[in-house]
Amino acid sequence: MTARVLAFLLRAVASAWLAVTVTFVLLRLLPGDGLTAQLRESGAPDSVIAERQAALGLDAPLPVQYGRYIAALLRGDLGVSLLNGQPVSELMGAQVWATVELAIASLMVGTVLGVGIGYVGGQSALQRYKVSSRAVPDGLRNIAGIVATVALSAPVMWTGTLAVWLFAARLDWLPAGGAGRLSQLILPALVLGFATAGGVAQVTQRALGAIGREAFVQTAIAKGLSEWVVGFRHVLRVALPLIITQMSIQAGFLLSGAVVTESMFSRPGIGRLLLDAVLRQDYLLVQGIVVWMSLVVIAATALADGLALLTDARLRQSML
Amino acid sequence: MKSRLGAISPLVVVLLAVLLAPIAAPYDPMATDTSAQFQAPSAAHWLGTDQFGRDVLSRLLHGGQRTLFVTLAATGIAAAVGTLLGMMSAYRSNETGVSHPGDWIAFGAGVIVSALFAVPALVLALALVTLLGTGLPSLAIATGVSQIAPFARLVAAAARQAAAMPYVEAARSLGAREARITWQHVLPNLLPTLLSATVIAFAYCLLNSAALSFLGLGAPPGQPDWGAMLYEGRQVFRVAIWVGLASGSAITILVWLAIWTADRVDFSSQQ
Amino acid sequence: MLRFGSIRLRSVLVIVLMLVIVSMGQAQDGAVNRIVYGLSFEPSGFDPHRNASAELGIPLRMVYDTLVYRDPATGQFVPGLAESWEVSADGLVYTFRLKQGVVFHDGTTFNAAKVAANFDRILSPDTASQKSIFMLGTYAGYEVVDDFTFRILLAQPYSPLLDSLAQVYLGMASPAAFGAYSVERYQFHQVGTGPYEMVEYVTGDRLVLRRSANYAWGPSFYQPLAQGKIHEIEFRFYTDVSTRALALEAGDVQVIGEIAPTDARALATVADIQLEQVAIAGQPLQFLMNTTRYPTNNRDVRQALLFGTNREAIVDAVFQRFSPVAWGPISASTAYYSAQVVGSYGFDSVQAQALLEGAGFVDADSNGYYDAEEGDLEVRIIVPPWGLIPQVAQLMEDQWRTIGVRAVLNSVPTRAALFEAVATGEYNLVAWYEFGVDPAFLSNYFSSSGAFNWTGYANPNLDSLLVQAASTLDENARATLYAQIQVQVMQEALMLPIRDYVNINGISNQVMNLSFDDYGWFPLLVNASLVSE
Repeated sequence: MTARVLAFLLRAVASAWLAVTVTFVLLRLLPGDGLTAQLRESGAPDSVIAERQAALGLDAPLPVQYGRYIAALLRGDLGVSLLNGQPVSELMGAQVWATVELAIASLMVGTVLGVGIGYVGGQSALQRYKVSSRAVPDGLRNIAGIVATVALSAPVMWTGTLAVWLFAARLDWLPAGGAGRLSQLILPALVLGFATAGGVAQVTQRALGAIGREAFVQTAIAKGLSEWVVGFRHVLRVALPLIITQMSIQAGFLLSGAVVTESMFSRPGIGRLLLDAVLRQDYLLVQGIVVWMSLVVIAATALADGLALLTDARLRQSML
Repeated sequence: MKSRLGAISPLVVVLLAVLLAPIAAPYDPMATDTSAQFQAPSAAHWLGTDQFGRDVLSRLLHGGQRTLFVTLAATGIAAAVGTLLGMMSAYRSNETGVSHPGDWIAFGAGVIVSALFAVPALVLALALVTLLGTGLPSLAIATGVSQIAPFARLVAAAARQAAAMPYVEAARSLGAREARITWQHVLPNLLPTLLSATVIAFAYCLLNSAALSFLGLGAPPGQPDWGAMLYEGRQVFRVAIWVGLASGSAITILVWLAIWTADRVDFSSQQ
Repeated sequence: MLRFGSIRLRSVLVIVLMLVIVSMGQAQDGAVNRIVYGLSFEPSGFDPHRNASAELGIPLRMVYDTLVYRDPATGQFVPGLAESWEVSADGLVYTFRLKQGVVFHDGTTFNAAKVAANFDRILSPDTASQKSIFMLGTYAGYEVVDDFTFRILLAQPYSPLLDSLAQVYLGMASPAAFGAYSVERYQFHQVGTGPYEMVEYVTGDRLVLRRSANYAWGPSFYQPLAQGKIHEIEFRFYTDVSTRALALEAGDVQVIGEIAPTDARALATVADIQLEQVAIAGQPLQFLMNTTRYPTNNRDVRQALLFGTNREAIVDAVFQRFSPVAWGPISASTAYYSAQVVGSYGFDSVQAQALLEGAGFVDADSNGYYDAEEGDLEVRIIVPPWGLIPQVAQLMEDQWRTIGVRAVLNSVPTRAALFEAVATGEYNLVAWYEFGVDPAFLSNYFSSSGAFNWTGYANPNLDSLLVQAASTLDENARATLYAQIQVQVMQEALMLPIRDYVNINGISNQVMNLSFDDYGWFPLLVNASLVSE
């Protein structure tokens, strides 16, 4: 068991290191950078540009810069922004809560919507295995299935535009963007939540289908437990780990890249910070954000892996 | 196998239709007519016109080709590299005990997959675009690379499951070499998973390439492309909602079809 | 049962209360005479001595005073913190007599020593200024003559010095304030002498200004504090173009700039919003033409491209007629603009084709494009993503098909990428423009040694005109010289002008008398007032 945990940790650290290194190399391969571009635009002579770069340690050979960067990382120092000298950790700290707020709200919306849709849509699978009958009308099941797939298929930029067009421009019910008031969180959370609901619904539906087959369910039915009880308590309870696994993967994506949603709704956050940093070629800031995002994503996937292992073990045990 | 091919045939038919669609376009998708700007859908223009008076329907029909080429190329990259990495990271996954050089291969592959997951597609896309120039090749590569990790994880999970099957244990106990086991026993059983994963990767590549084009990282300005049209549609949604509606619907329908097909492949392989 | 019910009830009440509190948030709309102003993006830094973006000037123009100002009505320099000034005959010494009784927001007095400290800050390597230091031209040092007399010394005459001193980047900050904070932290605690004080700057969220009670030393065009003046201004960031107009209509903001032309067209019919179109001085949206690369190395080809571009159609389709067509290398609101360029190269596709055929091009394979040495006659354009340039380029591509030229659009995602693309030399046209009232920047573009000489044009005659125009202090001489320069640039067809830059602002009817300064970007919030209820 300890060996397994150690292997996990080793893999997590190695992955984070590789992600940071790849980003470092990619960004430095790019010709030019945001500071040089700004200086050039302001009319700075080449000598001044060289001086400024030297002051930031950017004239050292790449391996030296890399070594310094890793050493600083290990001390917990994420560096400073190329364009304004502010520490990266400070810049991110100011913005991360907006992303977390959006992520939590979207996850809540997505889970509630997704489990609901998935449960309704999964009734046909339960029906096939005689776990449930006539609990939900055919039409509703089909609609649920379609809604779930549309949620998965529709690009966020499209659903976002339509939501703004309908609720903000046409009906004037909700604000189209910004942050600070609760009402401004509703549309983006709905849009992003709808997108995650698709994945959750699918997982819920499939879990219901897969587990409906399982022996312990059949046994429970043979014992005469009412369909509803079996359907809801037993089956859903075992499906929950799979749903949580899916949610943790979604959380990873939400936290690490709400780029499109934050830009569309003019919200601050890590996604927009990253987009601005990338477009301004402030590669020190980009690197800092990537370090943070790598850790989040790797932690989320490790959690998902762990849960999957647990689920597997439980399922196997229950089959014996 | 036959039933699996049958499962994907609707998708293939639709893809062919999209590739051939330009034939049906009533107008030149690039012809501008600034006096006919932002016309609502009508008999002359079934899906209306855009900011430059170009026929939205014709641009939609032509754009599918370009979008599809990028998506297929990206899917190919994701599937090829993803399968390789996925198989490698599941190598000897059920072996415990004595350490073996093969374990390091699995570890290394797993690290690469996790790292790929963590690097944001945005950074990758910008780097590629700057190094290779804007245009479809960089978009295809950026999109494809960003889908390698999810693909590899799926393959790895399925490969681990397949490797745990009793007949694989049997083959191993009979003394068969690891590589032979992989080739002869594990891989053939992965084919349905690979097929459905490829179709899913196609869906996500389509969605992601549309997202990246909003950064101007896609087709050259003016060329019809569903992702670019979606972005244009967003810019003008106050005055002409039909521009975005058309391209967004097209993307959604194609992605929906891909996901539905993947489900059918899964289902048919369970029979 | 009752116990269970009351716990539920309590928890519901708590949740409702929390939601109410959260939704009250920071938007204190009930405060008196307060507006929210929408900015189009958050600049990477808000310190005018250090950072470069024009966006930072929108709030900070009101926090800092400058030695001189440009009167928006006449364009002439009027006293600011300097009540008078003299320039020596050789143009190398500028002596400023400073106003007395001026006080910074932190209570410290303004005098020549403070001006010196500001110059020290701007020039200091620690400050690593990205713009202000480069606006000083041939600056060679300063002299504090006495408490209220300050002298600037130049190595060579530099005509744009006063213009630089009139801009917020050379605004006067309190040395006590910037001395108390590190270079990166000062932007959160800025102290000037202007009509508004900075209250706070929360990154990603807002920047807040409050009216300063004792402001009495503004330039002639600042109106004194009176009834209805705006007491507090909150600046928020609206980065998404297509929803800016919505924020205005919903009342989330009272003023917002850089509204998309298509949205502005829709807003024009809304009753309680006015559109204020402000011309921004500087270069128009233009394409510089590379005179060293085939086929634009041939002047006839360049002129054909000019004749073949229907700029009226572009202004109509892309800019919804909110911008005028541009005719020369500087826009109509820039100083020393010459009307001689108006009407040059009006759209005439017949003339364009005649020029190309006169240059020897034929379409032997009848594919609609003239033939080049290999393949079709191709013109490669570097297209950055800002300023609606991709849309302009799309229209140009289609328009040039009519005259038999194939446009190849090369998109670059960032500024740095654009510079790299230019450095390779593989372009015929590149879209680029900068802003400013004084056209001395033209030397960067059309002088053979200019840093932005992307046209590759080298003409000693033009060079000497540009040098003279940027060093003489005689207004009439400058006007004549710049007129000659504009005409020559157009004769040689060195650039393709498209439209004069116009910033479309949306202003709620609650706000009155909001006008903009001579540079165009910066609102004179000091003069604005709110309609009394």
